[in-house]
Amino acid sequence: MSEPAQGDRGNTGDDAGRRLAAAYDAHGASLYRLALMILADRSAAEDAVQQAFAKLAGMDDRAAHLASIHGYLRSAVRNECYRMLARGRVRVRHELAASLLETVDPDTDLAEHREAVGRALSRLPPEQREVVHMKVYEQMTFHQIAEELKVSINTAASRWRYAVEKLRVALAAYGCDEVHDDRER
Amino acid sequence: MTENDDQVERMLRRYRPAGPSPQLRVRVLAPSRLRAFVPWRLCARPSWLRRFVAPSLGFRSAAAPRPAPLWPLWAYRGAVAAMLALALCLNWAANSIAASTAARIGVGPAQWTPEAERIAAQIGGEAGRQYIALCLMGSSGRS
Repeated sequence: MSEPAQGDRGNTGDDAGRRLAAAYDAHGASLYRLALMILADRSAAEDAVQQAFAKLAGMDDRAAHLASIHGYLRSAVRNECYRMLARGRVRVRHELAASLLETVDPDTDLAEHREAVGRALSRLPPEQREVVHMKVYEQMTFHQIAEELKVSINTAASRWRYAVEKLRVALAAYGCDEVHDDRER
Repeated sequence: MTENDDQVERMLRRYRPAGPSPQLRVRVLAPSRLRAFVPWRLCARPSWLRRFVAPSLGFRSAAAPRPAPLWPLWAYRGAVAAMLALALCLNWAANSIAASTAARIGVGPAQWTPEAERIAAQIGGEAGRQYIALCLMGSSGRS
């Protein structure tokens, strides 16, 4: 985000709007997905993302001093998500778990399976869902996850381990064949 | 990473978290267009201080502010507001008690007169002598 020139004072509002739009187009979807995985609630995730961008918009010219807009927005979204959870504003509705995920390959989409995976994910604690998201969907290493979450590598790894164990049990209980077969093997 | 990890991860990778609705973009960009001037924003978000006053004094923020912390800011704001209200109430109570006490014992306003100057000279000292002289004048006037 560059500082507006002196002669463009009249267009400062437009520039800010354009910068915000560019930031949203670049980072909005990934931030929303992160918020959705932490909160497991679509409307709450939208609120968290909107709050993060509102903070960025409120910074005006100071946004130019940011080392990384993505990093700023990411930590703003995380803070907002955990603040909403701490205030009890988010209640996970397991019946909406199917809407948490979308399929990568539409040809192999099984709605029941997708719902079972979504339901199993929605039953995890938010911290574990967050680690699952970073590990699986953002393909981050435990070192990177630990650095971002400001926890030890062991903590990040154990969150992953607990999450995998719970997912495995939950998906077997829902009758997902792949995991079930592997357990009996 | 164990085999179980790989199986669960492989299964999760068939999907990804759902993307945002198109309305979210409209919602995110709407406040910047519709932001209106409201007077209390001058108090609530003193960005005008940073923009106009601080640079003229030579101050410049070195780093951009971080996102708001997790602890409840509203609790601190409430506590500050309560303390301010308490201070105003105590000030008002002290003034009214002093006024009612002065009215009850009949102490009126005293002026600095040659007689007060004479008493002050007899008392000697610099700091409190005028005050003591005025008190003596007040009490002699009452009697």
